[in-house]
Amino acid sequence: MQDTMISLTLLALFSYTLVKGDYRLKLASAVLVPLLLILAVRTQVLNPSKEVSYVLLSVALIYALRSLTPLNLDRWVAYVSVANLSLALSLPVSVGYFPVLSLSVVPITVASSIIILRLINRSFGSTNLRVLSGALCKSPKLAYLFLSGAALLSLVPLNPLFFPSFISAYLSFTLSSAGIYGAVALALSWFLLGWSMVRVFNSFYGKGREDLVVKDLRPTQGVVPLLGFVLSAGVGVLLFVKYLPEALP
Amino acid sequence: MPAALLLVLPLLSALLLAFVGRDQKSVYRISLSFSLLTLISSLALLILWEGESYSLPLFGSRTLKLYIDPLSLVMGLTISSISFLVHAYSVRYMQDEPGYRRFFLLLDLMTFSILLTVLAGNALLMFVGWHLIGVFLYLLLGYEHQNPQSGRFALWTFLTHRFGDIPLLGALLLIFQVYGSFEFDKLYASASGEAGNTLMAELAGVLLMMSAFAKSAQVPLHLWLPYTMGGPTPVSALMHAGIVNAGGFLINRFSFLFLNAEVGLHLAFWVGLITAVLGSTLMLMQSDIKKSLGYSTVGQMGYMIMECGLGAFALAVYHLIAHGIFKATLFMGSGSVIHQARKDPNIPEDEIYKFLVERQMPPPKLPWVVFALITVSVPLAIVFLAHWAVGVDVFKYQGALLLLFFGWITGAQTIFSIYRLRAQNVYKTLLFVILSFSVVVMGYVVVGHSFEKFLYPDESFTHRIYKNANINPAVFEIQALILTLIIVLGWLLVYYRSINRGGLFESLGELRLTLYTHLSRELYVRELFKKLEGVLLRLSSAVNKYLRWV
Repeated sequence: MQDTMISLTLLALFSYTLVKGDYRLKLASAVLVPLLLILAVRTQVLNPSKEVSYVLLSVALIYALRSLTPLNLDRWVAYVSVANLSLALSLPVSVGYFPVLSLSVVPITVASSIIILRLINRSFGSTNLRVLSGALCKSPKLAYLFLSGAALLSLVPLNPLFFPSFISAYLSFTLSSAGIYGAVALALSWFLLGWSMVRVFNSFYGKGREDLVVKDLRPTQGVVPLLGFVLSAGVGVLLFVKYLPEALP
Repeated sequence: MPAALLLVLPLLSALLLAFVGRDQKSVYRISLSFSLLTLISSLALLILWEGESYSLPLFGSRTLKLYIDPLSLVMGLTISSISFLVHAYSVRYMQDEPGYRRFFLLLDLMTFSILLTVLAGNALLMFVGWHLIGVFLYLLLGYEHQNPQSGRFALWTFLTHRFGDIPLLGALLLIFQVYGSFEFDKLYASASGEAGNTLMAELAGVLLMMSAFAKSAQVPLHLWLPYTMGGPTPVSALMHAGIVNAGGFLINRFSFLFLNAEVGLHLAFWVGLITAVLGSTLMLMQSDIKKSLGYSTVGQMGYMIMECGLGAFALAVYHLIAHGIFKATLFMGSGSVIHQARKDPNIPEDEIYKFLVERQMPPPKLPWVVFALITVSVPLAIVFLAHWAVGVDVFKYQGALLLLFFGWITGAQTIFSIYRLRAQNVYKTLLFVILSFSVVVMGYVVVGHSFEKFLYPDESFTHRIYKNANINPAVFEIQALILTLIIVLGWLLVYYRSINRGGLFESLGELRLTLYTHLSRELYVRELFKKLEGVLLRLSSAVNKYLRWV
């Protein structure tokens, strides 16, 4: 009960501040909430039982579903981050460094995303995908920076939502701790989050309008994001082969 | 050493392209040279192989290993050959396209991912490669961003592949629980005995098949393949020759699992059969050459998966290699065919037109009874003789018998088509058809048999898989009887129509039209997925609306 209360309260606080807060509050929340959670996990104040894992995985699934439709990138980042946090929290402490490692990534990725979105907002006055997909086309250099940054951040190797090695670790832990329901919820969350991520990328191209085409500057086109992906994939694989076999149940 | 090179070379090429490749010339020189070196490495690996499967640790890691066995050798060579051909073809094909460097970089990364999948010595490492294939395919298919369809179908492909990754993950974890390892060498060593938990093994088998279905475009997850023709032709060639075969590879890589699991095999048979029939039918209905080839691949993949379901794992690998080569050629040739067709006014030459369309067909010189006897008996005799020549007892396994049945149908259909064509010189045409059919069957059986010996030298291993693919003999016989009846009925209908007894056909006209309408709408599978997508998006919007404060 205590675990559920602490986790859900912190998640709600995190989500609320990311959605409703101003720039400073968002940044503070992005850093402080995961740090608090890390502290709670490290001191074993949080050590989710099977039932708590169910709840947290259900929260992750709901937020993964929510991440499919927002037009506002602020909200999208918030939903993806909450799903990410819930997944990390659903793992039992006995699995070792994994929950802490995943939680540690959240402040970095979310804070960087908030800074990028802040820059975008100041330049274009909006973080709405529809406004941006038109506006970014008029400023190719910024579009390139933004999209490269977004591609790199979303493909961070430790992000359990994207990289297969981590999702496999998550799934194995979930199977051992939360059973089939947990595994299904996790797998579906992973599928939905991948969908939402690619959907955001896709919303920048393929509109069929010449004026909405930034020539050679899309994440699927730029070489830099690709390199970032390869680099992050490489780091992911190395971490995975080093730690995963020892951590498996 | 060549094994490690197979992975390092494409990756190195991608990195060099990113940092050094400035103009088109340097880009294709780097990429093509590295692609050639990869091909040479895979050849060297095959030549230097001493007949024993082994694991090769990379960077001294306990888990980052490559597994070198006949399957990885064959697949490595196939992929590096097709990749090299696609690289060479793309040099000029893509020269007027924007993003030349990005294209080659993606091609190299895709080659790396496929090679990682086939060479991985650890099931989880294989999964990394498996997942990366989906990601890079998305990037390659979305290459032509001006085309509004390409982004959409790239997303569709990504989702199908990601959906297919989930059961594979589940299967891997169940395999770990049953066999206690992710290392292929240990898995093969421990799997020869009985599985501790048969139910878990069965479930793992079914999940594994589901993942293979998504990658190999099996019904109902087939739509990503024929609809992703917006990408550049070299990508289509690579996709149809290399990527879509991954399902067959996956089943072969985890063949040990089917020593203790049979439900997955039966599932593969039925899904493969339905896909083969549907894919081939839909292929005939397409007016777009690339889409037609796309559905042809769906049909072929169905056949390949069906072979796996019958226990003929090695034959499936042989099939995927043969299919890969001919489909890559067809795709790369399709560009020039389309180009020619655009120049062609589409009016046939008078003589040819008259010969094909307007001539009055002479009646066949052979009476239909004789022709029917030849149609039924000669292919059967050829197929049996070929199997007898290599010493295969076709009656031992249901799978072999069913494959023989399909061989017979193919041959009979070919001979039957001569009757339908009403060739001018029936005897000559018949002789050539029978001769070429004999050569093909003989070649297929002999090479297929040798290939099986190479991939699975342990006969007891293949024997157990064939045995697991067997079903209740009574059900098998009923199944075979129904299939035979359907085929014979089809022939009778065609024959009946050809002799202009239109009565029966007129009464079937309505049915034919209805069937045609539903098939031309591709049995509404696309609409079904669209509805599912709509439901999920509406659900997401509704949840967002009600939970808008958090």
